[in-house]
Amino acid sequence: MRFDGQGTKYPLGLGSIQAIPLVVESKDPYELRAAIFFRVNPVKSSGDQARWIEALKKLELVVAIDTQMSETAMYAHYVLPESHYLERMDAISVVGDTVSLRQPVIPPLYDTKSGYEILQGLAKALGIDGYFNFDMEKYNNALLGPTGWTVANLKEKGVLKVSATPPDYDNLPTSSGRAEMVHVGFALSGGTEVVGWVPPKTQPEGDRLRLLHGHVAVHTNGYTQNVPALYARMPENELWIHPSEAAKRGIQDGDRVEVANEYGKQEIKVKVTEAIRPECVWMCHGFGTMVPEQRLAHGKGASDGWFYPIMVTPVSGALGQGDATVTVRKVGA
Amino acid sequence: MATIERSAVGAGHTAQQEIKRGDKVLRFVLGERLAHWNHAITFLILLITGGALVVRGLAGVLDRDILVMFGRIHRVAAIPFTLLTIPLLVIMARKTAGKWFRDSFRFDKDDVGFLAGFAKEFFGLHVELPPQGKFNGGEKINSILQILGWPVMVITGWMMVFKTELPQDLMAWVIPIHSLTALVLGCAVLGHIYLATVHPGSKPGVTGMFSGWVPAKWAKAHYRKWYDQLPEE
Amino acid sequence: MTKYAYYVDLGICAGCEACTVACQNVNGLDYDMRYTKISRHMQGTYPNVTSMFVVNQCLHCDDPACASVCPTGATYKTSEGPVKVDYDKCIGCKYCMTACPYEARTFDEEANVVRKCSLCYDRMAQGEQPACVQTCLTGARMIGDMENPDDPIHAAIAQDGVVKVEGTSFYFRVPPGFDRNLVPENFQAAGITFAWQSIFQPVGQIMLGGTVGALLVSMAVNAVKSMRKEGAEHGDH
Repeated sequence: MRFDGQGTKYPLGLGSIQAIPLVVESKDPYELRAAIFFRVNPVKSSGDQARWIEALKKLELVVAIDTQMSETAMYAHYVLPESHYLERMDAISVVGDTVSLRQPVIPPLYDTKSGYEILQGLAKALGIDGYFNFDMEKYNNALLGPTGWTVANLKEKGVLKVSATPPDYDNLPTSSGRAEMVHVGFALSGGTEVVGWVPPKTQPEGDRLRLLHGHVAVHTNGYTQNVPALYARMPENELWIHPSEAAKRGIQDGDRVEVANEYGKQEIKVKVTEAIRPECVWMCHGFGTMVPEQRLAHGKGASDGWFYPIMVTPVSGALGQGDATVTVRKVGA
Repeated sequence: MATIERSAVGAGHTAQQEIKRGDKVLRFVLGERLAHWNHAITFLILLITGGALVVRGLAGVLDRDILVMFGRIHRVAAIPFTLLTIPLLVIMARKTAGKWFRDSFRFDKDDVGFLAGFAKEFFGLHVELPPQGKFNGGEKINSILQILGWPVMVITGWMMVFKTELPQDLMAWVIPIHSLTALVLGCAVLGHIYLATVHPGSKPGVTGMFSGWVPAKWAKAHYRKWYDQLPEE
Repeated sequence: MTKYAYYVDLGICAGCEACTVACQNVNGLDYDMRYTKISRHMQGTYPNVTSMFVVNQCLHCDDPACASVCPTGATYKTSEGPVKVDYDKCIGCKYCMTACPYEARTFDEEANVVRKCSLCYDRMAQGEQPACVQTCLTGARMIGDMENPDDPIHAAIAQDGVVKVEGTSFYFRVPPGFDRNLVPENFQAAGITFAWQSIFQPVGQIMLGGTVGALLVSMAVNAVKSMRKEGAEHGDH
């Protein structure tokens, strides 16, 4: 069984990275000893940062492959710096009927390698480089083979359109031939055959508010906060709070507040707005980085990752981040 | 024998009030002269540097770096223009300067008669002008222009240093007022310099602004009412 | 003849600010200097809250106030419409900043000039689009030639809810439920600017010229007079 039960305990799941701390602590299904993180930053983005940090400290080997120092890379024994996407060739990408290429537009500025080159290097050290005796261009040409195109064609044209057969909506590849909203697989994976509403485990009570998070158009997830051009546009996040809840707490627009629950504590600037449900607060994900090497973004704003309990939800194996409630208190009050 | 209210410092040295001494008459004390030269020199620097910035023909012709330097010089010269003149007058020449300030605004019919006849005299035609006090009608006009124009230039000028921090509607007026007042004062100053240095009827008086003394004969001819009441040393 | 006009569909602007960043890169600006500024407007009370992004930048006015007050002629209106700045002539006096009704200009301390959007005039001369138009992720921005009857901009500005900022080159589509006043106001020249540029300046220069003229005449007359006097004296001998 895979450490996170994907394919077995969660037959319909897509994988649950947040299971790592749970498995490290419980040793169930087995004792985890090493982890290689490739282009992910779960310490920041996969719930309960404090619990993640403790878990990584227990592993014998942690390797992080990333284009910048991250929260996860901070706790790695080895950081293998990857070239930026503008510096490397990745596998061709297929979306719908469109094939596109990711190719380097500048040679690497620093001593970095592409993800594939790192993989090749590790394979060589393990003596299995015979399985990786090609470069990315050869790999892509092999993938493109059936179309009759080459990487050179893509470099010239940019993107290529495949002539794809549209689905026959009267005869879909399902057991009934139709679109199915009912599936035995849901029931087998801990849910019900017809997907039903399951209330969150926690409700905001007393002076607690439900913590919501999301994204904005200016930044991408948790990794652009330190990019100078984007930092200039949005250097920190703010906590959105409804005027009625702000008034109850003596909070005014622009004040600094402390957000806290049993998992963590963060300080953040407040935006009082009608655009949020009164019993909720919202902050943009990705800020409040712990990484000092991210010199611009370090310490700016708050990280929502400190507040989410780690869980693996039934059926999909997702993180279930809606289940965090927090207190909000004016700093200095 | 006239009594002197403040004693001179040594014979022939700095006199503190207007007196006759032989063939000369003291017209301006040290404080007035220092104030005048501070005002005059900074004014000319400001006029030239400011003019180059706004007179389209010049601004198009001069090199950009020179214009930028003119702008910096303009703001530096503005400081003594703003800060030095009044203290010099008040501290070093309070009595005579005070009299000048008040008399500048007092016009009697002799002053009016002077103004009427002056244009003829300026262009070389002979004319009998009525007797004048220490300052003739034209000099009083010049003084009034400077007395009223100076605060306008100082206030509008310093506002322009902060032009982007002040309301736009306000600056839309302040900038053209600064320009227009500068041009009016500039014309007056051109005339003033000409009269002091070139025009035969008035240029003998220029020594008044250097040593303070002017020829007694010239003073008697041009400023009769003032000359007649001056004490001997 | 080309006459550029600019259209922004505020109903589909996503507030990503890629236009701001693309413009900064193309013009070599520091990241704290913006030629195009995006801000968010929210209205209503929970749960009926709606929001719209607002674009603010140089609107390339038909009769730009900045150009009329510029003492060196560094700022000028091109025949195709964009208002440009010749940075080799700009002396950083900031008169233009006091005249612009749209706060479209920024002072560059290091270079001592006042900068603004040029509508990527030089790029368009090379057949490219302004950087903001090319980059816009949602296709909210469009530049077009009003003199070309086939230009797609005609259809764009004919849509419901499109307002023209009168006196400028800009059109905005304001989505339903939002006020026209969220978009820049129509251009209005300050009355005093006309007086300043067209009356004070020429009158002032006439006065100065007149004064110099009067002085020269006076000098000449007095010179002639003294020459005559000398002549008479010589004649006496």
